[in-house]
This record gives sequence, C-alpha cells and structure tokens, in this order.
Amino acid sequence: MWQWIHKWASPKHFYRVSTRVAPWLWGLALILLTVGALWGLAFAPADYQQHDSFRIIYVHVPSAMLAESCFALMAVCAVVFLVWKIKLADIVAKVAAPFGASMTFAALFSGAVWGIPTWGTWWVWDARLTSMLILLFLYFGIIALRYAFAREHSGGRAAAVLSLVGVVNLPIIKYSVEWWNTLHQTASFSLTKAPSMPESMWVPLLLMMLGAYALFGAVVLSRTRNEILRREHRARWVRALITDTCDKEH
Amino acid sequence: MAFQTLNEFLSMNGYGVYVWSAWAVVVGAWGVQAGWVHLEYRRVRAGILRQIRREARS
Repeated sequence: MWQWIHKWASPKHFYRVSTRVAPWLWGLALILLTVGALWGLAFAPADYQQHDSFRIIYVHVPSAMLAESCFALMAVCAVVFLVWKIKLADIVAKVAAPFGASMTFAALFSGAVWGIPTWGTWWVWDARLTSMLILLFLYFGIIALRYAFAREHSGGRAAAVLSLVGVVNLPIIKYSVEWWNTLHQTASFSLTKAPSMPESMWVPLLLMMLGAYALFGAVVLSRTRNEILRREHRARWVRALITDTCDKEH
Repeated sequence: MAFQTLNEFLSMNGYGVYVWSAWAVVVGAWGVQAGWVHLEYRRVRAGILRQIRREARS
C-alpha cells in the first residue's frame, strides 16, 4: 500500500503516467462538451415555465459542480500534504485553485444572468448564492495566501490549512436549499432519485457535466505536469525530456 | 431541432441575451483554462532550455 502511494507521489512517475492519460481526457472533454452543447442549445425542448432561458442550465450546473468538486479536491490534497508531506498533493492543490475560482465566478455569473428572466432579479442574499460567493472569496484567499510567503513550502502549508477551514462551506452550499427557504431550486441531479426532467433535457446536461469533469481532469493533470517541470527543473530526467522534445521539434 | 430558423435559434425566443452571455462566460472560462495550460508549458519549457544553454556556455 505504502509502496503504491509513494510510487504515485513520485513526480517522475506521475509525469510519465499523466503524459499518456492527459490527451485522452482532452479528447473526451472536447467530444462530450461539443455534443452536449449542440444538444442542449439546439435540440433539447424548451422548458414549459422558463422557456429557452432554461438552456443556461447546461453551463450553470457543470460550472457550479466543478467549483465545489475542485474545493473538495483541494481539501483532500491539503490533508495528504499536511499529514504525509507529499509535495505532489501541494502541486495539485496549487493548480486546482485558479480553475475552481474561475468556475465559481462562472457559476455565479451564469446564475445571476439566469435569475433576471426567472426571478426578476440578478442577485438575492439567500443562503445558496451567499455561500457560493463565500466560496469565491475562499478561493481568492487561498491563492493570495500561497503567494504571500517567500518560501513555496510555507505558502503551500498556509493554503492547505485555509482549504481545510473552508471545506466546511461545502455542505452549507449543498444543503442550503434544504435547510433554508431560498429562491434557488433544489438539486437538478440526485444519485438517489430519478431526474424530474425528461430524458431529452437531462441527457445533454449529463454529457456537459461529464465533459466538464473531463476538462477539469485534463487541466489539472496538464498544469500539474507543468508545475512538476518547473519545480524539478534541475533534475536530470526533466532536462533530458525537455532537450528531447526540443530536438524532435527541430 | 427545437428551432425552425437560425434567427429563432440566435434570439432564443427573446432570451438570447441571457443564454448567450451565460454560455460565453462559462465556455470562455473553460477556453482560458485550456489555453493557459499550453502557454504555461511553453513558458516553463523555454525557461528550462534557457537555463540549460546558459549552463552549457559557462
């Protein structure tokens, strides 16, 4: 078990494996997002109450789910980094943070735009919206805190601690629509209940969500590889790899 | 197809400004993240190559 963990924690091994996996994830993301977008925008029927404004769901739900999943990943990485001192976990947390922040902003923006025709307002201080705004500020705080330290390791530790503190916000976001009376609707998808939408509406949503997760995986893997190269730039294998790719291109 | 004409599709039956702006921001964010990966790789690689050449010269 420990051998397996340490093998995966090795930047060189991770780099080698991710080199094979990342292109598949990029391709999968492109296919799923293209099919999902075409289906959701042009072929899915309009909602009987929200009409065509409902098509915002195909970008709003995936970005909101990614915003939360990304923070959960950062919290897991924080535990791994703080307890087992595995540097790869710190790298993953570092590269995931800007992606999570951009997805939180995208979810807030698309939700606000959707709110204008649906609720008659782009913002209300209800529990779901406010907790998502707090998530955005947490992302900004974690990113800023990491760069506030001169030593990379200290910045990583501080960011990990803040990630663990902030993870308490995730169940608040998820259950806010059940615990409080909010304008925001309940979850569009559930693992325990059948979807309330017809198949022609939820299949493209599922494709968009899977595509967005594939993109998330591709971005995090690829940026982790970049960060490994940057941090390990003195290692012989990195220099050999960079020289080889340069020779192949010329 | 849920729309009869291209104009209908673009206007989204009056909801076009909301639908397209939301899609533009989210898809734009995905595009920026994807583009960033490739720019970052080129920057990191160029930095390492510069260092290798500098060390080879000295």
